[in-house]
Amino acid sequence: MEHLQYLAMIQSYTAIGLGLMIGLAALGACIGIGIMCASFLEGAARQPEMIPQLQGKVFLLLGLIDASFIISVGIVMMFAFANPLLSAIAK
Amino acid sequence: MSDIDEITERMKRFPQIIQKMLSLQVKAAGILTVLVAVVFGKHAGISALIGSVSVIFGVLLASKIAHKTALSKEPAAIIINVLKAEAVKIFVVLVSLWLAFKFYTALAPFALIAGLVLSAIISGASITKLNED
Repeated sequence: MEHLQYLAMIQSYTAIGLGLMIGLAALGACIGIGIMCASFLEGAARQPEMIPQLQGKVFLLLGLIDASFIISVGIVMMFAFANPLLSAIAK
Repeated sequence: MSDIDEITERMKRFPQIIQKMLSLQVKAAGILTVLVAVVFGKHAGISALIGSVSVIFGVLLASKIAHKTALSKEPAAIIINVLKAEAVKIFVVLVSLWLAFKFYTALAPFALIAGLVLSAIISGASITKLNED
């Protein structure tokens, strides 16, 4: 019975943690992408001849901003499908 | 610079950036896979490879979509396409990770995350490489 209680607690706290992880990561990525896109539009409006150079850098910066979100998604998937905390209960 | 020269320059430039980024990612993924496979075993190596490949595949598809506006002079169109590419990238990574966790029973989660993290960071770190050139 105690084990079941622990199992339920781990699963519920994990679910809350996963929600927070994905939400905060998405929030950060969205703010970053928003700032970057705004800067790109501003730069393009000021100097239209710089658009080709800026375009390449925008795409690469997107990769950098997105890296944290993708890492967070990976960790969330790990906790959702192969939760290492549950193995402690099994022992 | 005439319009034709400018367009030619743009056509050359964009794929080169992606090529550099992808070649860096592929090299790093290869090295990590071999290292993890030697130290932790075959399944850990395959898991690291799956993690890396999911990001590389996502970046490859996203670059194809983002490249559509390489000739555009409209910043809004570029932004829209870049955001579409971003959505596709996240979707591809999500689906490939879900498939890996669902169907690969001998998966080593930490190796997979290591591969994923390495590829994701390198896709951003290529900016420094771009700035050097």
